Formats: sequence, structure tokens, C-alpha cells
Amino acid sequence: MFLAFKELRQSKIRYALISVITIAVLFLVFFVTGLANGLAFGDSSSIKNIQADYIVMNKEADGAIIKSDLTAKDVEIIGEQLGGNASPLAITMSALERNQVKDVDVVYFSVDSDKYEKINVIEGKDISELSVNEVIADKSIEMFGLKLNDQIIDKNTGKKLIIAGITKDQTYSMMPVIYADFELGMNSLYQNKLSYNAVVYTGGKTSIIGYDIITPDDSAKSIPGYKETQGSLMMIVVFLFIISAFVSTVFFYVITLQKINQFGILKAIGANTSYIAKSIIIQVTLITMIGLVFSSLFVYGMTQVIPEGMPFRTSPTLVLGTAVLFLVLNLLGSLLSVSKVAKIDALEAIGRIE
Amino acid sequence: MNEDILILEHVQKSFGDGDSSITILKDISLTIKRGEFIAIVGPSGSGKSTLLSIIGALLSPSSGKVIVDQKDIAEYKPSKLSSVRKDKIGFIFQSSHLIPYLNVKDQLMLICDISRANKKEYEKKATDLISHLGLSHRLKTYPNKLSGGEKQRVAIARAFMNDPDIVLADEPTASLDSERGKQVVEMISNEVKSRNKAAIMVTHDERILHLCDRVLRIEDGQIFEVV
Ligand SMILES: Nc1ncnc2c1ncn2[C@@H]1O[C@H](COP(=O)(O)OP(=O)(O)OP(=O)(O)O)[C@@H](O)[C@H]1O
Ligand SMILES: [Mg+2]
Repeated sequence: MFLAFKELRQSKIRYALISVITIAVLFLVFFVTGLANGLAFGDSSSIKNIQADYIVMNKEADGAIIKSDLTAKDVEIIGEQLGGNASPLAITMSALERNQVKDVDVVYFSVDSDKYEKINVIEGKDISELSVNEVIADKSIEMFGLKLNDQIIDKNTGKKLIIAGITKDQTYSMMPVIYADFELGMNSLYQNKLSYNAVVYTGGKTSIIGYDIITPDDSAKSIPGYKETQGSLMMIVVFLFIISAFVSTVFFYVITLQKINQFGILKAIGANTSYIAKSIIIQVTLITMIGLVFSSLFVYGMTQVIPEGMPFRTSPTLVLGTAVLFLVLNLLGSLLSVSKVAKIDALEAIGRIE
Repeated sequence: MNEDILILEHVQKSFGDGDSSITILKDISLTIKRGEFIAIVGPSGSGKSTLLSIIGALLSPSSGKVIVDQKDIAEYKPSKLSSVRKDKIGFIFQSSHLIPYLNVKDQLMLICDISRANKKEYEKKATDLISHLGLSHRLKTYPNKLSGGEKQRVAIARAFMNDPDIVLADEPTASLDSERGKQVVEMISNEVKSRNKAAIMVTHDERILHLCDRVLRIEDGQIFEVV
């Protein structure tokens, strides 16, 4: 403690600079992880939150609901195999017409409102309580000035619908999801016949010949573009981690090299390697902590000012996990300096002959 | 309590290996009692600093025994040697070797931190030593603002901080004017007598030899008593 703090106090500029670098890199790390998380969420939350244990779709879809296409006959076959607890699901893109302002792009999730599980609405009616022309919309629709009990007009059919319930965490490709019953016919918007994407059910895993059965979580990962987006953002995050750990390691290593003589003196007057190592580790930890605290403050400040629609989402667990990982990496890096210290020979370092 | 604080028996030290090896110390035996203040003289390159490093647990001899406070440290591993230095040895190097980012007082308090000693007690010790050496007005000064002589006085104070059994000084007066130099040697001498310690000083300065109890001379790897 003694050495570590006295030195920090004496070499303020040096350590301030490395702190600023750490803060900047960590800010980026937090920002990009938040973005990756937000994008993942906006893309797939509705799929992850499908109220069912399993999704049945055709084999060609490779797990992506949107690519799956089932006929009424398929649905019938699957329904027979599964028994009572199954509801077909149809996903249709559409838009809501508004007066004088831009249309709102939305995604209809058409289900059998008698069979589909409760959605967990935060306001208004749940799926089984809907009457004719009533739908449940995701909370993000409020960004467009729409709220519970408002009337909306579907652009394609001209149908007038009422938002009877509001749910949350139901978005698809950044668009709000609207849950509707098949009665409204949203699943035949573009074709004259009824078409479905999948059948969802609650219960144990089974298998039906000719169809794929996967969980909502797995299906979310198969959304077209999902893996690609997440993959490249992940890569950025990983690289940021490596770069920052590397910068901090090199910084402390170079400083250690510069201080070999001092460490030699310390050893000569009786300090052992662990005494010196402790002081290095304290400094690394402190600088990293400063970086973590300030960068998370900045990220927090940023979340207060970014526009609402921005796909940025972070959570205490995410920040904490990132922070711990970062600290561990930096401490691992400092071991390089410590190993150097262990090798210092007091006599050589103090330079015996002037 | 055993009176012989340091005993060297047939200490030999060579550098390098095989054909290119040179033997600096050939056969050194000597005994130093508590309360003794000893000077070592000899031509440059004769191995004075080498001998001091061996006694100070910085260097292990090629053969022979180095008995500090009744324990032979000749075969000690580095980690054990460092604790010998911490507890039993006080060093005053040829150049002062202070830590650049510590002020005068902290240079001394560092010893307290290394030995995990009582802070209050050491703080008092530090201020006493500093005032003894006439540095009270420099308490908060950093090494880069001190003159060579002042730095050396801080180094001397530091050597006494851990209450060592043996104080080793390699030309401690080299950078001091003769008045200050004499004062410093007197101080080492006082400390040695009053606390019943031993001190070994390498020096070229003939004028301070009279302050020492014995004068030893190293030549050709051998040690002789100068009468
Ligand atoms: N690590 C080493 N490897 C090889 N030779 C060494 C080593 N250390 C010291 N020597 C040699 O040992 C000899 C004695 O060195 P030492 O520093 O003990 O002399 P000294 O008596 O203190 O001289 P001075 O009065 O100039 O300080 C020198 O010739 C030196 O070159
Ligand atoms: Mg010498």
C-alpha cells in the first residue's frame, strides 16, 4: 500500500494518462456490449419470449421461424400429433396508417387466442380475453404516440383495431410486435390462402417426422442476420478486451523495467518479491478500478441522453461481468511484471561499482 | 548473549567459471564482536565491496562459512537471504540509492512498512534519526532536491531504522565534506557503542580511521590486521 500510493501521488501525469486510456477503452467496451445486447434484444426478444416450450416448423427453415412455411394441412397434422396445447403461429410484416405522420412498421404475431399461453401483459387484457378487433401491442409502440385503448388502422387491410393490452419485450427486427387472433386474418395478407409459420406448444420435447422442433431461444439465434450481427460485435468486443489488456500489461511492464534499479534497492534492504509484487498489483487494480468506475458512469450518463429508439441495452450483470473479466485480464497481464521482479538480483540492480 | 556477532571462516569468492574464473577473495577469516566498529581499507579492485556484499547477505561465497548471529548464511536461498537483510543488516551503499518518489521521512518509513513494524514507534525513531543527522528541515523533501551529502545522510539514517545487528557502509563519506564526513562516522560509532551493534565500513579516508576500533586491510585476496 505504502509504496503503491506514494508512487501514484508522485507520478500523477503518468498514471493519469494510463487511467484515461483505460477509461476510454472500457467505455467503448461497455458501449459495444450494450449495443450488441440491445440489437440482439430488439431483433429477437419476441421470439425468445414466445410463450411456449417448443416451436414446430418445417425442415427447410433451419430454425428460423420467418423462413418456415406451413399449410393448413401441415398445421392439422402437427396439431393431431401434439394434442390440445398447441397454437399455430403466423408472422406477418405490416404497417399502421397514421394521420399526417409516417406509418409505423409493425409485425403481427397471429395466434389461436384460445390455445396460446398467457402473454404477461403489463396493462389491459391478456390474449384469452380479447374480443373482436382487439389486439395486444408491444410497449415500444408508445414511442409512436400510441397507447392502451387507442385505435389503430392496419394499412394493408384497412381494418380498425383496438389496442386492448400492452406487453413488453416483444420486438422483432426492432419493430413492435402486435399479437392478434387468426380471426383478424392477418396471416393471409399477401396470399389468398391461409398460411402459417409454425406451431408452438407447451410440453415436453417430442419429434414429428418431417418437421423440426426447437426451443424459442434456439430459434432466436437462427433469425436471419442475427448471428452475423452478434458475431461481428462480439469480435469487436473481444478485440477491445485484448487491446486494453495488452496496453495495460505493456504499460506496467515498461514501468517495471524502468524501476529495476529501485526494486533492486528494495530487495537489498530486505523487501522480498511478494512485497514488491503486491505494490504492482495494487496499482494495476487501482487503475483498472478507476477505469471501470468512470467508464460505467459515462456509459450510464450516455444512456440518459441517447434517443429512446436506439438499440442500447445494458444491465448491472452485464456491466459487472465485463468489469470482472477486465480486471482478471489486467491482473493476468501484471504477472508479466511480477515475474520480471522475481528475477531481479539485488546486487546487480544496485550497481555495485559506481 | 554471544559476543561474536559475525564470524567468517575461510571465505573464498571467485567470479566467472572454468578457465576464465578469477578469485577475488582467497581465504578470509575474521571475527567481529558486538560493539565493534571496523574499517576495511585496500586498493581499488581488491574485493572490499565484494566482501561487504557477502557479509550483507547480498552475495553467497564460493566456499567457507558466514556466520551472522550464530547462523551460517553461506548456503541460504535468496528468499531467506532477503529476510536476513531485513532483520539483521543495515546497508549504506557507495551511492545513496534512495527511492525517487519518497520524501526523506518516507524513505525511513519504508523500512517500517517492509518489516510490518509498529508505525508509531518507527515514526519516532525516524524523526530522531533525521534530527541527529541534521536533516529536520528536509523532512518532506524528495531526493532530487537533496545534495549528495544530504542523500547520503538519509541513507545512513535508513540503515539504522531496522535496528540491525550489523551496519555495513561502503565508502559512506565519499560524497561528504570532511566535517560532515567525520560527524557521520562519529554517529555510526556512537550508535554502535550505545546499542552494542557491530559496524563495518569500507573507506579510503585516512583521517577517520582513528574513530574505528580496528582497521583491516585487504590485499591479494587476503585480509590483514593493521596495527
Ligand atoms: N559480478 C562480478 N563478475 C565478475 N567480476 C566481478 C564481479 N563483481 C566484482 N568483480 C570484480 O571483483 C573485483 C573486486 O571488486 P570490488 O568491487 O569488490 O572492489 P573494491 O575493493 O570495492 O574496489 P573499489 O575500491 O574501487 O570500490 C573487481 O576486479 C571486479 O571487477
Ligand atoms: Mg567498492
